[in-house]
Parts: sequence; structure tokens; C-alpha cells
Amino acid sequence: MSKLRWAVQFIVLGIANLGFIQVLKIGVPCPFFYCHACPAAAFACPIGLLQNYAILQQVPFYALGVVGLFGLALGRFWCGWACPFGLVQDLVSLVRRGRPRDILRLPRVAWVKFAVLVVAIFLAWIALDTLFCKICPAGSLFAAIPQRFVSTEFSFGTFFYVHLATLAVALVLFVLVGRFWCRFLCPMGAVLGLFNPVSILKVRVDFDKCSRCEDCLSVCPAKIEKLEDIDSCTDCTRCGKCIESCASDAIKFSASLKR
Amino acid sequence: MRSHSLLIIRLVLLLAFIAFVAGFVVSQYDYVRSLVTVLCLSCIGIG
Repeated sequence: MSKLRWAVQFIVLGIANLGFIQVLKIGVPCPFFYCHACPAAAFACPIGLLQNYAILQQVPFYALGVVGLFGLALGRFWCGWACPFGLVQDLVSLVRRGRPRDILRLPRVAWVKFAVLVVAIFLAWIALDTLFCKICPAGSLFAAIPQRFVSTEFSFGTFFYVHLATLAVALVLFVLVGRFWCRFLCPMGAVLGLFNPVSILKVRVDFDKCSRCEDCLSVCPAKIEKLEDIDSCTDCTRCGKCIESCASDAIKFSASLKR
Repeated sequence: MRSHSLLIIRLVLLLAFIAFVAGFVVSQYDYVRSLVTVLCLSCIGIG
């Protein structure tokens, strides 16, 4: 399954960049974290949209509807299987191959990403500017650095260096802590995490088969601490590592309207 | 009982999101798309 996940992540990265063909810049909000200031972006970043609508003092009903439909279907599956910034974190974590546990062990703190989401929108509303985008490491990697090479409008000013600094700090943290951004800071993960308890796709534990060995919890990149939480907590990215690790075959993806 | 309430919650959310998209796609899609087509360099502070 991990090979399939890698393949899907790279394919989605390619699809997210189809905007290098102008007609494919469709601008639909995407259910993952990818900057729409990237020269090749095909989709709009929901967090950028929420900030821009906060500046306009309007409710982004269309964007909320699109992201809501994505979230209701798959929850944070998008984080684990589609997000280009998640792919970057997975690639960076390869440098500590053979050492699956985090170098820097941090406790699970689920609320921080929700605070980042609220603060990002509140600051946009108060300051009438997309302040979060100006320090966003995904914006640094996918937009600021590529724009440096392709855009004639590029300003080699303060915020470019701010972007480089935030990206450098983020990359170091990704080496030290697996999926650091997804676990602690991602506002898009916060939005999609709200749908985990009600999404149609879930990761289910069959407690009749489960031996309580907790191998699944030991490999979990989201550092979920209880078997009962796998089903519906806001941190699970549906990456499927728990499914692969389960010797009892007690954990499975499940899609049902009623359960 | 729990499965019924979950089904109802999903249906309510599904209908609400479809209504959001159907009701506002005409008035809001052009602005959303403009963020991608007219590159938002000022958004990230480099334009």
C-alpha cells in the first residue's frame, strides 16, 4: 500500500501543476495544501481563499461547499494520500530512513492547527491582508521560489527572505518530527479533520480480531494514542500505515453511508 | 440508533454543501478562479 500511496501523491502533485497549460487553470478549490500563487497551479488554495474572503468581509459559500464535499467523502485521506506538502514531508523524512521514530518526540496536541486556522482568518479580517500566506512554507516552496525564476513581476524583497527562513525552519522540523506540519500547524488539515468523524471513508478497527498489540499505534505518523481514536479523531490522515502493520488483519479502510 | 443519526448528519451536510456550490458558483467562481489565473503574487508578498 505504501508504494501505491507514493504513486498517488506524485500523480496528484502533477495534477496540481497542470495549470502550466492556461486552459487547465480551472481554479476549483483543492482539498489539500498547495499555493495558488505557484506559476503552474491548477487549483485554488482554500486557506488563501478563506483569507481573501475575510478581507472582502464575505462568506466563501462556494469554496466551503466544494471543500465540504471533499471532506465529507474522504476526511483527511486527502492529507495522507494527495497533499503535495505532505509528500514533501514524506520525502524529507526519508533522510532519517532506518529510524522510523521521531528524532524530536513531541506529544499529540490536536488543537494547535485549529488555532492556526482561526488566527490566519482573523488576522486577514483585521489587517485586510493575507498575512498567513506571507509566512506560509508551502507558499515559499511552491510559489515564492519558482516565481523567482519565471516571473517578471517578482520583487526580491523582504518577504522573499521571510519565505526562505520559514521554509528552512519547516524543513528542519520535518526532519526532526515526521509530518510535523500536518500534526501541529496545517489549517487545511484542521478543516478536513473536522470531517473525520462523519466522513464516508474511515479506518476501522475490528475489536473482535484486534490483539491489542498496538503495533498500529507505534507506526502512526499522527501519533494517535488510543485504538478507539483511529476511527474518528481529527489527526488521522488515513495513510494506512496502521493497516499495513496489523498482523491480525483487524484494521481496514471502510466506506459506508450508515457507519 | 447511532448509525441513523450519522446517516442523517451526512445527508444534511451533503445537501448543505451541494446548496452552497449550486447557489454560489455563478457569483463566486470567477473571483476564485481569478486568484489562480491572475497570479496572486501580492498574496505571498513577492509581487
